[in-house]
Order: sequence, then structure tokens, then C-alpha cells
Amino acid sequence: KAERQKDRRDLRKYVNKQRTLIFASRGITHRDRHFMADLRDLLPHSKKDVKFDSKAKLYLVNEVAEMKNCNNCIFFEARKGKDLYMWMSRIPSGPSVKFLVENLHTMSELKLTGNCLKGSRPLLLFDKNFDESPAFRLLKEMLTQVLGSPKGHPKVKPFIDHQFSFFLQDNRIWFRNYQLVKSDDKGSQEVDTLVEIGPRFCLNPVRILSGSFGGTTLWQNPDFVTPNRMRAMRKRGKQDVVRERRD
Amino acid sequence: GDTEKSKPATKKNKIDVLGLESKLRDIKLPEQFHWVESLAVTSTKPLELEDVHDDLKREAAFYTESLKAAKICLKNLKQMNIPFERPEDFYAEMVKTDAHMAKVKAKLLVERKKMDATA
Repeated sequence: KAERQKDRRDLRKYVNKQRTLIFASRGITHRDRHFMADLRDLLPHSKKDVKFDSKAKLYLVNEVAEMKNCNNCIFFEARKGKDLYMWMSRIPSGPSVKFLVENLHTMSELKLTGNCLKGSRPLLLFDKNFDESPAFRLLKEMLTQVLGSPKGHPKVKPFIDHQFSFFLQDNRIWFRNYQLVKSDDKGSQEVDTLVEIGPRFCLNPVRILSGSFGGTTLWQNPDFVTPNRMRAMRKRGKQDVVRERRD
Repeated sequence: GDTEKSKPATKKNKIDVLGLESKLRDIKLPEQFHWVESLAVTSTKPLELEDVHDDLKREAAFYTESLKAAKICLKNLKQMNIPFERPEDFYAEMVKTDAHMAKVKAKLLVERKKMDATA
């Protein structure tokens, strides 16, 4: 019994100290900004900062994060006003990972009808596929710490009413956020329905670095095609079609 | 990006397994942490989809897997005697505002009317 009481006491303590800085480079679109706002709303342990000016010197992000007393960082980097990259990093000594954000639907889309408390904690579900490779095992741990809400954080409420699900399919990480619902009509006492809250997005990992925004490359995605190349290929494909028609 | 261009093409397939594993050990949450600190679970078997671009089937599979995990997690929390439900009289700000939810409802109504009209 004494042991159990000790357990209880330990559970009251605030031990898992995670603080995540979320901010972006200049030149992100309004949609990206909405997405960033969504993440800030969903992560009560997040902090924000003004837009970051320099694209060339990404290592300076570390200083901003340390000034803000954060041990995790999500940094959005916009390219050409259409492509959005998302960096996720452990401050100060890494690792860090760069993702291309694809298939983005923000929380403001009306077809996503769920809702949850501001500051409540999410359950985190990972697809077993993450365990199949060392790179994704590492990413799983990073996502857990950066996106999960730590118990006991001053701004985190001790309630659980939504779930972040991460699936690894097609070499991409698919993110879904569901509200946990007890359906009223059945008078049920247990959660038996999910309603999607959003946002919805895919993270296509580009590269994992050993340091925070620097250091050696630990892993590089062999299947990654840059969005520029993708567009060029699509354009060329169209040209081929036109040529065929002409012939 | 300039960093990508400067890398020779031979480095394309780089995997540093030892490096990845040592970094994982560096950042892992301490073993003695209770599960409730992170609330993270992994499914028991990998999700296999025939075609990831089949939206309906994909979302259905995601939903089923997610609900299964949620039920187990919440049951475990109850068994551990860890409260997680919001009391009935606890009101607080929601992630989506009332105005936003009103719009969502309005749209649902319109859609239902459309369905009825065609039916």
C-alpha cells in the first residue's frame, strides 16, 4: 500500500518538462499561418516568437529557442510562396528533422466538425510501421515529446478529450486529430465515436540531422522528390500529352 | 535550397543506423516515467493499406485503428484510477470558437436539406 501511495505522489509531480517554440520564417502564406495557429492552439506547452528573418542562418533559431527557454522547436520555412517545410528540433543538441508539409487541411475547414477543450491533453497513437526502421523510431520519440502535452505543465489541463494519430504510409507521416466522443443517443458511458477536429496533413521527411539545425546527416529520404522537380515533371508530362495529340 | 545543391548525389541513400540509435537513446524519456506522462501508444500490428490514395478506405482504416487505441487507453486510465474526464460543470475555452462551430452546424444543416431534397 505504501508503494501505491508513493506512486500516487509521483504522479502528481511535474516531471516531463517539454516546451515547444513554434514560429516561422518570413514569406509564409495565410494558409500556413492558419496551420501554425492551429498547432499553437493544440499545444498548450508551446510558445511563440515573431517571424524569423534570415533563411540562410538557420542555426540562429537555436538562440531564439534558448532565449525562450524551450527544449523543442517547430520552425516553418516557406519557399516560393507555395511550399511549406517544417523543421522539428530538439534544442540545443539535436537531433533535428526537416519535413515537407503535404495535403494540408487546417482546422478552420468546415467539414471537420469535432472540437476539444483548449489546453486538454491528447492521446498519441503511432502506427506499428514506425518501429520497423531506426529513422522512424527516432521520429516517433521526437513527435511524442514535441507534440504531446506534458502532464502537469502549468497551461495543460488534466483532461483527455482528443487523440493525435500518426500513421506511416507511403513513406509519409499522416496526422489526424480526433475528438473522443460518447454518443449521447445510446446513453453510453464509454467513448465510442471519434469526430475529426483537424488539422489534417502529411509530413514527408526529407532529412534527419544529428544536431539542431546542423550537424551531420543521419538519414536522408531516398524517395524524396523536391516540389520544384515534381512541378517540372508534371509540366513535362502535360507537354507530352499535347505532343501526342498533335501527332 | 543551397544546402541540397552542394551535396554530391552519392550521398542520396545515407542511413547512419548507429547515429540514429545513439540519438534516440539521448533523447528518450527516462524509463521510470509513468506512461501517463506522455500518453503515447503504438499499435500492435502495422496498418496495411491496399491503396493509400483511396481516400474513403484510408480514412476508414485510420478511424478504426484510432478508435480501437482510444478505447484501450481510456480503459487503462480508468483501471489505473487516473481521472481524465472533464467535470460537467467545468467550462473553459474551446479550440474552435462558438462562432466557428455555429458555421459548422449551419453547413451540416444545409447539406442535410440537400440530401433530403434529392432523396
